[in-house]
Amino acid sequence: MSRIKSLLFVLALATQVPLASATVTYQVGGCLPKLTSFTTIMGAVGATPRPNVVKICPGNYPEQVVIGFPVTLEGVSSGNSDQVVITVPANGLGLFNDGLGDFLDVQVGVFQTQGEVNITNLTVDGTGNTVASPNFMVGVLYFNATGTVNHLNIVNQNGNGLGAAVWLMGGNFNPSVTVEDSNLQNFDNSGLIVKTDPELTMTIKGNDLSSTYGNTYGINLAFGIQLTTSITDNLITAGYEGILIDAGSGSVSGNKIVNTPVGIDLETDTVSVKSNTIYNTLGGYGIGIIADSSIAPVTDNTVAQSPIGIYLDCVAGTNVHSNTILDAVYALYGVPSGALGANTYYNVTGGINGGGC
Amino acid sequence: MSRIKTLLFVLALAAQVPLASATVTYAVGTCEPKLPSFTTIQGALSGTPAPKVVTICPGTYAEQVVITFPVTVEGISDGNLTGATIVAPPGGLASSCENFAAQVCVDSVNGEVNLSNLTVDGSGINTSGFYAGVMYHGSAGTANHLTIENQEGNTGLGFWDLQGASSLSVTIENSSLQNFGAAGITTLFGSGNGTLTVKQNFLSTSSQAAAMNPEADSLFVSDNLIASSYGGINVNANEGSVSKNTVVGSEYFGIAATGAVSVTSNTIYNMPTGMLVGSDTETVAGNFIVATENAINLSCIPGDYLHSNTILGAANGLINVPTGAASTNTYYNVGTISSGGC
Repeated sequence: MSRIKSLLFVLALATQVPLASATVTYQVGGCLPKLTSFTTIMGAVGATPRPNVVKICPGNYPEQVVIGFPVTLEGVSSGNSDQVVITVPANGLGLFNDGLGDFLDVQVGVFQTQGEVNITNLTVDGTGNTVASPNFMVGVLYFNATGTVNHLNIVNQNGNGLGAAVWLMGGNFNPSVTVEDSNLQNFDNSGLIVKTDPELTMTIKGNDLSSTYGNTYGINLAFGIQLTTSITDNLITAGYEGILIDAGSGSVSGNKIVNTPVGIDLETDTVSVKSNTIYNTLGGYGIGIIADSSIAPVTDNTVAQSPIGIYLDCVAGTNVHSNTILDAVYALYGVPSGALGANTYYNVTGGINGGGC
Repeated sequence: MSRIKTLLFVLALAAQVPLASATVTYAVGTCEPKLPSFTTIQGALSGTPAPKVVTICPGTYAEQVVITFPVTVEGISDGNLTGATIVAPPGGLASSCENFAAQVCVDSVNGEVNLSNLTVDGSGINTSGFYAGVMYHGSAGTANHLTIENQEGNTGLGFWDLQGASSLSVTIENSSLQNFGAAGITTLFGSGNGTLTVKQNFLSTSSQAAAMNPEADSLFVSDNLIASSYGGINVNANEGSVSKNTVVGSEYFGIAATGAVSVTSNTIYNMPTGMLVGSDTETVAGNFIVATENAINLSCIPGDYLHSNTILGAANGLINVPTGAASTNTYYNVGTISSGGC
């Protein structure tokens, strides 16, 4: 190697040193002795220099976690355990006003961050909270922040009828949030709720959601003028409505929804509902899909064991087609006088088309 | 074309006529006026010549149906309705299917019996012995798009494949089984010599019942959705697979397997025990087990059958793990990953 080449090689190596050392990793709990250690998550998040990664050892952490810069928060294994549990602190949770008329008490909040905030392998347990109405009790909030929530166990956000496991809001950073492969359980309002006026792109995939509370929504797209959504391959059980689509544009596909009085409630023209499986909507209204749109495609869904397969609400028509309805009293209800799409029906005892408009 | 060729062509056409006319189709009800019509399903099955196809108009038929020859029985559409409902006759069910009672009994048939687009409703049946909505006894065929419901009480079975000594193949698919008292799909008292395929069905019950507890020589259980039961899928077979099923909210367990069965790519959610291992000849891999107390109970059975599963949200990941067992799975939010006790 020539002298010049050797010099360039050494310089190249030297320039990489600051890049490597820029990754600041802290640990919480003491299970990774080679890393700088803190006793609380907020202690690590608030340290100088700011961490890029915070690894959290198994244990219970009664604290509110607030994040405002790009960072990865991850639970790690130690010995025979892999359970990091963030619980409600004894002095309660701080309050956040979302500007849309809601007040949120948040266990893990990610606020106004450019760059990714990724959270993985944590349990966020709302047991013991004393949040009173009209405040919402929220497990994880992303407000105008981008990132991925992965393999989280968010449970027991309940107590006053306003508990939500995950709450998403957009903002001027045009954030993109993914919630995947997580368990959202025992909420008493919504598993995942979206309320956003500014822009937000969200991907919700491969999650499991359930609640023993009756008047709940699995996924609740409550409000979102500039919401782009992809909701795929989730498993939703119990509650009142599996997926409520009041806003946004995008697709809801490949989800399984079981034991909810209403499977999917489509109330907008700009979201397609495709290839979902809805089973056993007995109780309450007993409707597989509410299709309150004459435009949004509702196709290739399977609805089994539902008093009403698809409720057209005197609005939907040819946009509802290629669905399979098995075991219903009425396959279609609220059928308008115009043309209908072709679907496949089995064991319909009351009428393929029912309920005049 | 030469005269001889023309003659042969005409003869060939003539030879096909008997084949076409051999398909004897009867209707039950009055929605198919071009077909010979009967008022009961059993009446059509007893017609002469024996039918190949029995189409049933929408309506309610209070009768016990016994099938003893190859035939297709299907509910059809008429106007705004589709499918036919079979309910128990006022006098109750006779134990005419291998000494058991069944609302629809397919009994010792040499050839296939296929059923589709029927509801079999067991409401009001009162019997002390085991009974079924649909039973295949020593017979082969496919049950497709059935609704089998309300076989209640602790002896009620939805679909019963009572296999005989020969190696027959039975499939139940795309069907809804609801409110069974003892089991949704079973081979109870069967010899286990046949092949049973169970795919894309929906099952749920509020009773302390197994959704499925089949035993067979070959068993294939795939893409079923089990919403609630006492136990989800409990299988025993010499070969086969349990794959891509979704089991939710069982009171006890999601999947229990014994024999040489692979258990792969299933989703088990929200119950005390996700999976019970019953033998070391299984492969248990690629399953996603969420929100359980105990994700997988190895029952102290040694071997390398268990790997590549994902466990999320469990108090215990693996329990009753034999000494020295090595298993590579992925764990998230698990209190105790592995515990012994063997």
